[in-house]
Amino acid sequence: MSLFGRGFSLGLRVLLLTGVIAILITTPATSNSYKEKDNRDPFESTNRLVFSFNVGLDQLVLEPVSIAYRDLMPNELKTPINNLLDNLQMPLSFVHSLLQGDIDNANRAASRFFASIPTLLLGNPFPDQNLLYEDGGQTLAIWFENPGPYIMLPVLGPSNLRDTVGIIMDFFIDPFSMVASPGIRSIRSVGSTIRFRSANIEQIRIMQRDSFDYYAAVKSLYEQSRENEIRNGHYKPDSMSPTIGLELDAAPMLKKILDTAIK
Amino acid sequence: MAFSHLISKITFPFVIILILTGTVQADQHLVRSSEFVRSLTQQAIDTLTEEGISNLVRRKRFRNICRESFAINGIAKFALGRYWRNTTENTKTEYLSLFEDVIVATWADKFSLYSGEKFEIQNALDASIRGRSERTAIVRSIFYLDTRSQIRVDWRVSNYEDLYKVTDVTIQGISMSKTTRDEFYSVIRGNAGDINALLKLLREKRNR
Repeated sequence: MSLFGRGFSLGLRVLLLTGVIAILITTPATSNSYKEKDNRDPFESTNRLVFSFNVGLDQLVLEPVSIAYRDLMPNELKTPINNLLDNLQMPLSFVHSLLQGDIDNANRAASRFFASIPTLLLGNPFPDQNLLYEDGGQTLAIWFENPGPYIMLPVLGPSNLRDTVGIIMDFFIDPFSMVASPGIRSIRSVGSTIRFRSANIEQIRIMQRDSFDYYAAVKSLYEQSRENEIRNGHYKPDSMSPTIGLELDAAPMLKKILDTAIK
Repeated sequence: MAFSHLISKITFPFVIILILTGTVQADQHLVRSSEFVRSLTQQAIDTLTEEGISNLVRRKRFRNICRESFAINGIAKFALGRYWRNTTENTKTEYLSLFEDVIVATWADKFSLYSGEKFEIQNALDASIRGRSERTAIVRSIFYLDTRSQIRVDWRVSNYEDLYKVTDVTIQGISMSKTTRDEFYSVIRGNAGDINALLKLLREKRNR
């Protein structure tokens, strides 16, 4: 999921991606002003520039619109809008669940989509159901464990090579994109973006205020949350910090024992 | 043949007892870790979300909880990663103190936003590492924000004898320790490997 929500106009996305890939290819990795490199982020200098642009755009346009949506849109209307945006995501989630061999989730996605048709896709027929939202990047993760270099996309936010290819793939295989006009597709994308941003206004402000390096914080959150989505929330030993021990926090006697044991 | 049969007959009950004892011990370790997280969460909710307390009192209480129940120095060391080894003892002491101050200043005030969300422990998994004295459990919990949305919070709890401490927390799969380390690394890398740049930032955040 991008910083600005699930999706934008897919056509616009592909156009932007082509431009970004061209910039990254023509920007030498050595132009990075950081003397010690982060191997996961070889285009850090370019990415930081794009990130600054995105933050500016967010403050100028997206945040004010999202605040207006949060404060002015009646709650009675927010629920059907949320349902509609989720239901329109189901066809793509169905396709990727099948590609990942997750028949249960494919079944849930299809059931939810068809059961919401009588309500013009504005209702949620299974409110207690825990649905997984699958996309191209998650499907590609089955075959490509390495996500490739981190890429900050203009407007769309954080990504990596694997997720960027996934976005392009979704442009071609999303059943909704095949039947909806570009205008309708744009409304879905902009709607998802505003919904995501309006739900995270305070969290993003706190993050901007408290982080030591906002760019690094966003990158870390993106990488970890994508890994979490790929493993569908299941625990994996290296998802937590396995090397933190008690040796620095134990009482002196115990500390001696732990120190000796570790040596 | 008969002799080996006899030996296996004699040793078999012992093997079963050993396996069962091991299982019981493992279960005890997981049960106690879960109970530790339940009690810690309840203590945090009771003491930090009490109506009418000032931010100063909340921070003082949060600091006590941090010292008692979190491996705050171990987390600080992890956040510094490979830079820890090349740091002088004096700088390490200052860094550990600043780290605790900033964690307290950053996190304590967030408890004022708590509005009665329900909390439930789901299960616990053994994550002990071979060759280490302490045992480790991952306690998985859910915070219910409302009837439709929830947040998964996992607690990495290490214990040695009667000492239990949280060594990491993940929220929706995002590790707080890893995120802090990624930020610290970035700050130090951006300043040609100079840890003083991080210390300067920590001082600024503490004094804010």
